[in-house]
Amino acid sequence: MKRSIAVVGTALCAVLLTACVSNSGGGDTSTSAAGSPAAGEKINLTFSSYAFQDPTVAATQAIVDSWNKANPDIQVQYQKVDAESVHDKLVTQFAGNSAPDIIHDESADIAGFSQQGYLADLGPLLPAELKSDVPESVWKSVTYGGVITGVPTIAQVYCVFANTDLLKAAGIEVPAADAPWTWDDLATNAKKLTSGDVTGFAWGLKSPAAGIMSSGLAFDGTFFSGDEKNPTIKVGDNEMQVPNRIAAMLADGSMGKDSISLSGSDVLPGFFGGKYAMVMAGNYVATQIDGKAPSGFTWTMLPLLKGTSQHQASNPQTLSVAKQSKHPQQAADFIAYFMKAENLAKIAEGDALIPVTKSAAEIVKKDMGDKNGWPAILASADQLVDAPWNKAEKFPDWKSKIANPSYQQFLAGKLDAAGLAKALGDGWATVGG
Amino acid sequence: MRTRPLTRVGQYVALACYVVFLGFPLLWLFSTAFKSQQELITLHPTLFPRHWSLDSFRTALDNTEVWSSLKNSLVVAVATAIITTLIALPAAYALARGRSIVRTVSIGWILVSQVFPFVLIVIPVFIVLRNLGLLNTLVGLVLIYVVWALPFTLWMLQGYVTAIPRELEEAAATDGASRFATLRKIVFPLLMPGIVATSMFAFISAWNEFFFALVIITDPAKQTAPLLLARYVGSEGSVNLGPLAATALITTLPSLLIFGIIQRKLVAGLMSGSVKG
Repeated sequence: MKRSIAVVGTALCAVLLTACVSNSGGGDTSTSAAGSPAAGEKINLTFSSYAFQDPTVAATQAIVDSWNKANPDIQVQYQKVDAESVHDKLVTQFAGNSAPDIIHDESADIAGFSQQGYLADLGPLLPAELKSDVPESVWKSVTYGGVITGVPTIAQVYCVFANTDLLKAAGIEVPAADAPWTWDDLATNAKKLTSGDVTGFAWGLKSPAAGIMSSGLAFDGTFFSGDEKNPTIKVGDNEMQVPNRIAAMLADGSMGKDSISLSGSDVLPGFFGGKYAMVMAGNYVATQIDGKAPSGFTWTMLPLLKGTSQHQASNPQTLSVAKQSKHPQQAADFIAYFMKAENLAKIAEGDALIPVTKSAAEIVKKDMGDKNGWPAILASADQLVDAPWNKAEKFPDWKSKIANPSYQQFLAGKLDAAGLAKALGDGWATVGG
Repeated sequence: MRTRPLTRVGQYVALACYVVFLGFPLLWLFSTAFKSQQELITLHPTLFPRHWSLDSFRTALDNTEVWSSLKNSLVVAVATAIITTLIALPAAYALARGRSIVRTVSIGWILVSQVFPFVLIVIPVFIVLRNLGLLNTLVGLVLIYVVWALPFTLWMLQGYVTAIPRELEEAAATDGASRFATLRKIVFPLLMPGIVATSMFAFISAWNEFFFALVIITDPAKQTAPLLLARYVGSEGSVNLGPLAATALITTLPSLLIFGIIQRKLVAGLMSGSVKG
């Protein structure tokens, strides 16, 4: 009896092991040779995307549907992921050799995956006209060690949204694109707008590092230099310009103290209710203002604030191809289709973000007209620069563990300027940077 | 012993505060789900909607994935609860009644298994499922949930078994009942509150679980309710609040309903007086 149990057990183990071995690798096995399907063979590609706003989800679905209709032999399956879980999901999928063929992410996040060798080199796979349609400075933000591992799609800038009725009542003119406000102008006008129940300016700085550091580039606040993967940090006068100016506005009451504990779009109820005359936020907030603002509410986006320049960090959303994909060329072909001007324009309009291709920007410009300051925001694609921290391996860790809490302590008055600079610098060493 | 009226009032006040504390998030969810878009972004939010609106429900139900994700969650949670209980029940009895070294070692292992955070095991589990061809399947998800819930349900259930006096089983044996008859007619009926409690635990664990579902399920048609809910939250804290609250309320109803139906089985004091002194 015992012997027959042992025999059955061994046989079961053998069957399970065989099943495990024969299934390893996963994914689509319909091709005969890597990347080159036999004639008439059907290819299935998976495309994970974290598109969030309803119009963007609809636009993404429409692009996938039209591709599938036009390419019956190369079918794309759209997999929706929530924005906050993209990284965790990809880490597991890459480790398990089951990543989607086409990956929607952002340049700061794909830096790590690129360095770990999980993403395909797109340089040889993309058409020349796509390469020339995107500014060189934006390509730089998705080039790692000389290899392009992501195609930039849409980008965000931090801009000031203004209640135009309140501006008008205070006798403040909306600045033209070629005469943007400086940070000093912002402080002066915020003070002018502050009276009674109205506070001139607010910025949802619950996670302050990204916005403050990006805005600091307008003062040449580069923070990092040297080796792009493992740079050295310097927090000097340029890097402290933006935090010091925010602290000054908080101190004189022209910036809402309560806003620094809110997330980016949490300031909107105060903006709609007339509590804040101006708010700083990622320009994607324009979609939410469009959809949620009470009727009769008039607003505009102001041109990017000027320091010594209007530069901000380029951290565009990206489309990449997993190196594990069995069909990299077909996946790259889908990306090229996604990047067609009319497709990318729909995505950009849905998210109220800036399309990085000139051709899509033209369409958005035509569609949006002069409404709500769109021309100046579309033009700001030229101000996006590859931030020196974009490719630093330890930056995401430093940002969440050191920079965000240190900036919060500074804004809450628990750290002075010297203390903040020291905390940021020492913290970089702590995370192993 | 008679409780003094003042003490009784104090007890009720404390109980009421506790109920409000527990119920407030649900009340807020309920209120938010019925608020109009304008009310959701008002500067001074109210506890109850000024004007009750079904707009958020319309938006939520326009998304056809609501029903499929509800169905998937229900299938996964019910299967997890049943399989976990079926495995845990005999194992718990053996653990509670056994006296060998295996019992001590097993209980020690159950406790040790609880200290591993799931982030630590998610990649190995993912690879195992991939090799078994169970990635992106509800079967794979159920398998993980059963494995994940089993140690704690086993621990819970063996506590319930231990609480059943051995004397009852000995009395049944003395009266000529077989071991199986004793289990069926004496032990299982007495164990029913424990079975219900542990199966509820397994059900709720599977119903609420997010992370394993996130990494294992990629096909939109197979996603569970927590995955759908997460998609109402965007980057940088932006939230599609109305539809999120409405969908959350809809997805809460099945578990509330199931809990309501079987909670009467969770009766206490069933065994009081079964054994003398």
